[in-house]
Amino acid sequence: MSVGQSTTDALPADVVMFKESRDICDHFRGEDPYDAKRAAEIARNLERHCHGTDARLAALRKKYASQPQVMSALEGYEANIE
Amino acid sequence: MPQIISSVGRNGANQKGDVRSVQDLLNRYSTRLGIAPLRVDGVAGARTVSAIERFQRQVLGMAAPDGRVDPGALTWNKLVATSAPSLSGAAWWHANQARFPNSRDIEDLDATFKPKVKRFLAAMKEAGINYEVNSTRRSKIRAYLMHYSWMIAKGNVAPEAVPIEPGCDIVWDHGNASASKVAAQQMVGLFGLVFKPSLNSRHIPGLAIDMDIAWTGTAKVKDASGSVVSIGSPCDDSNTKLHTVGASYGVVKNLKDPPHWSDTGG
Repeated sequence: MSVGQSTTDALPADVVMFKESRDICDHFRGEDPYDAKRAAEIARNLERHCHGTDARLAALRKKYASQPQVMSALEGYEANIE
Repeated sequence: MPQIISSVGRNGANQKGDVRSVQDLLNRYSTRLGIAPLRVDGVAGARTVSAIERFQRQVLGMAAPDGRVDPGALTWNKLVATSAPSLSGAAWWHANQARFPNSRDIEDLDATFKPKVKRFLAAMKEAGINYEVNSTRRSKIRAYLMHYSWMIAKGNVAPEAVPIEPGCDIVWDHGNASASKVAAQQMVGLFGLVFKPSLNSRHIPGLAIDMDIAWTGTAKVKDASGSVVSIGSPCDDSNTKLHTVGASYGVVKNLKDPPHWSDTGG
């Protein structure tokens, strides 16, 4: 088991779910809509994985403010992408 | 249109009238360059030479500015051509955005990643696997324009606090916050942005490639060690055996994004 898996396994389920979603969102925020098909694919993924994540991130940071391990896992995520 | 007869700046002829013309044109960029306006006195002193160097570095994107303006040469032509401030907004977008396209050329990939991609593509071609490359390096300036249009429009950054991007002659600060936000919002609309664009894409340093892949039947493709791998259905980029072959070359599949491969899978 890798260190990354171990760290993720120890995180609360809502944090893991947030990270999965926002990581995909962050990837597609850097992609190029080079044709109509690709533009639709990016738009679909952005809507599915980015929408609502600003509020979720703020809520998680508030909920787990006293847990350094969780706060560390949430570090580096941008607060305002919507 | 202003003209100069001879060179101005470091080791230039520095005729008074020419120096005055250059100082006057540079002063239109003083905010953009982050300097106090020059005294238009016809003397090519240290501040004038420094301002020329800043202009060359920040507006022209020159890595090694020479601090000199020669008649008819690049620095002079740019000073004259863009003597009006390049304010952000719809007009700027229509006039300039096409200067910063993304690339689909393999040759534009990062020097360490490019040979790995070439070897992987050659192996697929030899095996009869069809591919079409759609995206390689993303323009850093285009990503910057999209990112900061969004940031200013949403009020996440003050226009005067946006970092300078060498080679990108845009002025974000219109003199008041409201006008700056309206102009940025125009660019957000023209770029078609719905969420904040990232500055961290693997495409920006040329470490990612997007391609459509398909074949028929069973393809026999060599991995990086020369072993032949038989790859059947599904005959597209979702095939995990193809992912393993790609990884052997150092081209790693991103499992969440069908056409996307990179140096790390990110």
